[in-house]
Amino acid sequence: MGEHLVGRLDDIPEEHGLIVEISRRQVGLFRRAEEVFALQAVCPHQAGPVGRGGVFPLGRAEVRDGRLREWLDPESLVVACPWHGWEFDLRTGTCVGDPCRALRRYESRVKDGEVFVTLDGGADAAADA
Amino acid sequence: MAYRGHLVIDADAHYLEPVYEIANYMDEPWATRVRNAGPSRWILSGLGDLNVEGRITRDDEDYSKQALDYDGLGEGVRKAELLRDVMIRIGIDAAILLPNRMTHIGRYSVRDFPVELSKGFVRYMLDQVVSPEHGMYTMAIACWQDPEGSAKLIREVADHPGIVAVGIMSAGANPPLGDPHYDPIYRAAVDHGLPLVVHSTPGLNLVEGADYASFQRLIESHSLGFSFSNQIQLTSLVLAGISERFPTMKIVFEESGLFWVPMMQYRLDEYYLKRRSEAPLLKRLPSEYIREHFYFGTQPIEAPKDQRHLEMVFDAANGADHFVYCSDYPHFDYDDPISITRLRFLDREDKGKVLGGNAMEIFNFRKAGIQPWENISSDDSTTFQKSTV
Repeated sequence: MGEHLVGRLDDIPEEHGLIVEISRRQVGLFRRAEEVFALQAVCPHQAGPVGRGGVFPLGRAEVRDGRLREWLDPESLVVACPWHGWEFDLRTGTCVGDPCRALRRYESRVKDGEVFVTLDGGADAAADA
Repeated sequence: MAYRGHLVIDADAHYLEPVYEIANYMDEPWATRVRNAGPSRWILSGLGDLNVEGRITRDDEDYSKQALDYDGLGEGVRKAELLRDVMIRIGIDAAILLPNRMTHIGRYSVRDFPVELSKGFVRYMLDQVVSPEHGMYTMAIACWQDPEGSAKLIREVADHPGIVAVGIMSAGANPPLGDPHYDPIYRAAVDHGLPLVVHSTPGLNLVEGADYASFQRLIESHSLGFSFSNQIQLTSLVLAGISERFPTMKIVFEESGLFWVPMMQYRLDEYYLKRRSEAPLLKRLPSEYIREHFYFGTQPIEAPKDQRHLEMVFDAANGADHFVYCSDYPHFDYDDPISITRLRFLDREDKGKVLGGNAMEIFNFRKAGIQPWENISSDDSTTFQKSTV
């Protein structure tokens, strides 16, 4: 447990996650500019590698004047599992389609270009949840 | 190989058929007709954006790279050597391969082309891909447009050890598949000890031509279409007394998930009791025929948070003995074997039956004797590490 140095910020791509192993736990690192988010890397759906999934703006919609108006919200980003497309909030790990499911989120910070992640004692959401 | 110690048979995997090559296995004049026109002039192309705007990007199946020119049908299972790699990665010991774009075959109004396409597919598969020793099998695809021609094709290839079923696509058949018009297909299957696989196909389509539903998004057309077309054929086959006409024929419905099955069982029972005179061949309740003669592929398996709901589906439809694992690989909504092993209400024996044991009872895998892939050693099953990341 505790805080772990997991690599350099420059090594994390912006378009999709990077999976690292910390104390035998798979963690997905997602970079947005100078910020890093750390989420459980294995999808609770069918154990796909959500930790290397792409980052996408959340699709939103409203009905206005009798028509459906859709847009992509760049302020609300989601991670999509590359196996089946399940979407999770980048910042919280909550499943967008079903908020009672979630990826475990880990505390992370960047200092002097290095990325640190803190593990806690809890278990990841299981694939048989 | 194996998955967590279970023999795994995938009753529905799709091979991305190379149509130019398949044309070489058709009879004339269709071989020349397809080659010279280009397959895109003859084969329907697709359902829409299956990769959800780039979200689904599996290493071995990037839908966003799929070309629609039929020269390349996308990355993935289109070569025998690639197929074996995918089977190892997922944990599949034996796979029954169906075509990919040819699943649209039921929508053709041209009567003589579909069976020629089927002829090209099965001959190509037997010549280039199928390998019982390595667990790669296929089926003869029958076409509703030409029952006699389909029966002839079935009889041509049925004795090959790589042919384990007769397949038919569910969308488009007019009249539906219970009609005695199709009996030549069923008789050929029964004569050769082959089950009938009814594989769901869209029926509702977002991209290629309007259908009466006129859905606006793929989530709508796909969710309903793949269930709806199988519902039509199950209704027709059961109520037309297929299991009285061909009592030894096993019928496997694929690619509609599972929850529709009890709905159909009890809806058909309800109307049978009210209108029995319109289904005079039946001697029992429709639900009883379904439990005894019909089998169902698991994919895309529904995953309710409360597994008791799925347990009731297994109970209603005799699922421990009649459900068969299907991956539907490489399609976007494929299922991994974990979709079965995670079911807490199944004991280890029943998980093994759904993953492979039931398929061993239904499909004729042993025409050439016991195959190497059937031998699951304890070393294999314990050392196999599923790649998840």
